[in-house]
Amino acid sequence: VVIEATLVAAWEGLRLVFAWPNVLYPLAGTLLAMAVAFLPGVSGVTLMALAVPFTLTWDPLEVVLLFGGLVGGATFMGSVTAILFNVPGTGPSAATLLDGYPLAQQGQARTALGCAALSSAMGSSVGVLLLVLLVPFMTRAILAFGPLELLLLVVWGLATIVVITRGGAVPAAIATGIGLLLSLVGHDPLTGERRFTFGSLFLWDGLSLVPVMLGIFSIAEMADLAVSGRRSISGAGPGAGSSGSVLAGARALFQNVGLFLRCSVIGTVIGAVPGIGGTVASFMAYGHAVQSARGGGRFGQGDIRGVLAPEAAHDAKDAGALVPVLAFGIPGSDATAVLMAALVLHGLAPGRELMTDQLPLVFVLIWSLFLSNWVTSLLGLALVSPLSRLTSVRVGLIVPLVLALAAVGAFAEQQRIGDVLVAVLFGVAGYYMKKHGWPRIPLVVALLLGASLERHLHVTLRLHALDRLDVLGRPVALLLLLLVAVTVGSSLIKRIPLPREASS
Amino acid sequence: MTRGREAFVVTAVLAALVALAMISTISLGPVARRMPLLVAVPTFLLLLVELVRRGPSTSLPTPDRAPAERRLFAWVGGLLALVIVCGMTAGVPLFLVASARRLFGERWMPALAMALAMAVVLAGGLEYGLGIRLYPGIAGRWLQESLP
Repeated sequence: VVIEATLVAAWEGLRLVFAWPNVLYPLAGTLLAMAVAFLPGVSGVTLMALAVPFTLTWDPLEVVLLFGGLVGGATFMGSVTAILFNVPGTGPSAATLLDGYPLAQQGQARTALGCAALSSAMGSSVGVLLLVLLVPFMTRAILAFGPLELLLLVVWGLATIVVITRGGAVPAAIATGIGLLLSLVGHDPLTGERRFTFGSLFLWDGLSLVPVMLGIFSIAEMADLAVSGRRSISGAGPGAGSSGSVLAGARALFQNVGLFLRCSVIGTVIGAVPGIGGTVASFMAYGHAVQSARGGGRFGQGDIRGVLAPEAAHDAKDAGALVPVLAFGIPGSDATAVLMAALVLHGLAPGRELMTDQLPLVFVLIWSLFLSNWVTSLLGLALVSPLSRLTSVRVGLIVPLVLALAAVGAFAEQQRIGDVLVAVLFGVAGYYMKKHGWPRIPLVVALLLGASLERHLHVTLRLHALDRLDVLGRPVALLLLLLVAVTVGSSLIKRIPLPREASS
Repeated sequence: MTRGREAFVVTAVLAALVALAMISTISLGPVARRMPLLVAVPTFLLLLVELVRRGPSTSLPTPDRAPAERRLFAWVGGLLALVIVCGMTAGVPLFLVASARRLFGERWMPALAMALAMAVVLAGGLEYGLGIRLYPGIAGRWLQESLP
C-alpha cells in the first residue's frame, strides 16, 4: 500500500512539474543558477538565500518548483571549472579535477566535459529513480545512522582520499592531518574555548572553505601556469582545435555502464546520510573506480573513468540529500538548509505530514530537480565547444583574469577583506605544495569534513562515557568499520612488493 | 636554492607549523585539546619521516624558476594592495590592465576590454544586481567621508 501510494504521488508530482506554466519555474531557476555560477563568489546557496524573500507571497507549489531548479542548476557548473582550470567550483567537484584537468591538458577537454555532462544527467536520473523506489524504506534506514556511524562514514571518506591520492599515502595522510588541524581553527564546539586563533579576531569564526579553496587551487594553478612558460592551459595557441570529442565522452559512459550505476547508487546512499554531503560521495565513487579498474588504468593522469565516477555520484546525491531534509528536517548542507527554511516559511514543515499528506509536493521538488539536472547537462553539452576553447586562451589573459576572480570570490562570500589575504597565503602555500608533490585535495577535503568529524567524535565519546553505545548491536557501524579496514588494508597490501618484484 | 633543498625547507616549514599547533594546545582544556592532539601528533611524526626521506641531499637538477615565481607573487601581493587602497571595483580592473600589460606583455585592447568587462560585472552584477557590498578600500572610504 505504501509503495502504491508513493508511485501515485510520484506520478502526480511528475504531472504537476511538466504542466504549463509550472514547467517555467524550474527552467527559470536552472538558468538563473547556471548564469550566477559564473559570477565570482556567488554560489547556488547565495542565490537561493536571495530568492527566499522574493517568493514569500508565492504559492508553495511555485516555490518548490523554483527551488528544485536552483538546487540542480549550480551542480554541473562547478565541474566545468574543475576540468578546464583545475579549480573546483564546489567541494564535490574536487574529485572530478583529478582526471578531468589532465584530460584538458592533453587537449581532451571536450571528451571530459561531454562525459561529465552526460554522467551528471544520467546520475541524477538514477538517483531520482532510486529515491522514488526507496522513499518508504529510506526514512527508516536513515534512523540507523547515529553519531558513531556518521563518525565512521567521515573516517571512511578521509581514508579513501588518502588511499586513492597519487604520490604516496604518507604525503596524503600529512595533507589530511594539516587540513583537519586547519578545520579546528576557531573554537571548540563543546566547550567554546578558542583554538589556534593567536589573538586574532578574524580567526574566531575559523577558516572559510571558499578562500582556502580559491587560494590553494585557483591562485596556485595560475601561478604554476604563469611560471611554466606555457602559452595556454592546453599548451596550444588560440583557436587551436581540441582532439577530444563529446561523442567519445558519451561513449565512455556506455562502455562503463556497470561503474556508472554503482557510482550513482553510492551517490544516492551517501547523499541521504545527513551532514556528510557530496564531497564524500564523489571521492567514494572515485575511490571505487580506482580500486575496481582492471589493469589499474591511468587514474590521475587522465582516465575518463575518473571523471565519470565522481560526476555520476555528485548528481545522484542531490536526490538522496532531500530525504533527511524532507523526512526529518535535518539539512545535510547549506543548500538544503536554505531549502528547508523556504519550505517552512510556506507552511511546509518537514516530517511525517509532508511525507504522507503532502507527498506529491515532495515529488514535485524531486522531479524539478531531475528536470534541472538534465537542462543543465544538455546546456553544458551544447556549450562544450566554446568552453573547451578556454583552455587555449593566452596565459597573459587567463592568469590575471582568474587571479582577479579569485580575489573577488574570496571576498564576496563573507565580505571580509581578510579572506582575500587568506586566499593569497594559501595560493603561495598551494603553489609550493604542487611544486614539491604535496597533494592538495586531501587538505581541502579534510578542512571541509573536520568540523563534522570532531562533532561526531565528541558525541560518540560522550555516549560511550554514559555507557549508551553498544557497538556490537549496530550493524551499520560494524559494516563501516569493515569498509574502513578493507580500504586501508587493500592499500597496504598493494604497497607490499611481491617477492619477484622485490628481488628485481 | 636547489629544488631538493627547497622541498626540504617546505617540509620543515610544515613540520614547524604542526609543532606550533601541538605546543599551542598546552593552554587548552582537556576536551578542547583532544582532537588537535589526536591529529597533530601522528601528522608531526609522519612529517619527520618525510623530512628524513626528502633530505637536502636529494637535490634534483631543474631549471631555476625562482625569479619568475618572485615576480608573480609580487604581482599577487600587488593585487591585494590595490584592493586595500583603491577598493574592489577600481582595484581589480586596474590590476587586470597592469598585470596583462606589464607582466605578460599583452596588447592594450584586450587588457582594457577585460578590465572593462570585469568592472561591469563587479559594479553592475554584484553591487547593483545582487546587492553584494564590495570592499570600498581606503580611497573609497575617504571619498565617502569627504563627499557631502
